[in-house]
Amino acid sequence: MALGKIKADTLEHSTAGSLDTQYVVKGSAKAWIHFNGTGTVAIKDSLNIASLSDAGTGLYNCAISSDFSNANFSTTGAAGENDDSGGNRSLGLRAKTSGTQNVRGFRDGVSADDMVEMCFQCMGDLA
Amino acid sequence: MSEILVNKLTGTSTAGSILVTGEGNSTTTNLQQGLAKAFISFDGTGTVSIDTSFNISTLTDNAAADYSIAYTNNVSTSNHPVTGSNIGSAETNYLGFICSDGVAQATTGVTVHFVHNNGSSNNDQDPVHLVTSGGLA
Repeated sequence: MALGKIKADTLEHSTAGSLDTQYVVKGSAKAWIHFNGTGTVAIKDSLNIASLSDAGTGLYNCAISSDFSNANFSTTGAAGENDDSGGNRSLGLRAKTSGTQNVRGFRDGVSADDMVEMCFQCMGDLA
Repeated sequence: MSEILVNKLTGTSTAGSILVTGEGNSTTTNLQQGLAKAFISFDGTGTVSIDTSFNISTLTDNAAADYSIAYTNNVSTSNHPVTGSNIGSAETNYLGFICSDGVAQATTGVTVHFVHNNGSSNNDQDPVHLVTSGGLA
């Protein structure tokens, strides 16, 4: 079987369930990352991420390998710790371009704090 | 190398399920279920406006940091997962995400809310990002 590209408008099963191929193209995350934001930051796993850098306490800059078509792509994420102290954690978004997504970790009453667990995904059109 | 041009890809066994072999070359993953079914990036300040979206029909501003989205093509269950994040308007103004703020999720859409990290009053944000997963109706 030759390797190559599949172009289709719809994915449909034999007995039920069809899926317009726009869901395949637009519904696929184009970049994601899971990293440890404490100490020397380290990527645990990622897709389409070129680099991750520590930009200060709770602040992280992330470069995307293959850029998006513009800076309006949609990013959602979460943050966590490996213990229950220090209040609720979350991931906030910072400045972004078509090729970068900067984020922060924050928790109750603290606007920026290093997190052991940081995850986010980016949805949108690639350039 | 080749290119296949078709209008539909049709499976032959389990209903509503097309399997894709994963990166580990053995385990399969469900193609349909693994795809996001909707996403949106919008300006939640002033008169709300959509920057970019997929499968979103409407965006509604309910109150401060409280928004509703409706899907163009509905999802199959009200239990579908929704995630969200936003860019804070200032270095000390960051809000966490609540996927449902006292309004039950529906197959037609969801109401979301953002809460301030310092417990103060919540305020509208720009941009706000949401992603919906799950099955289509």
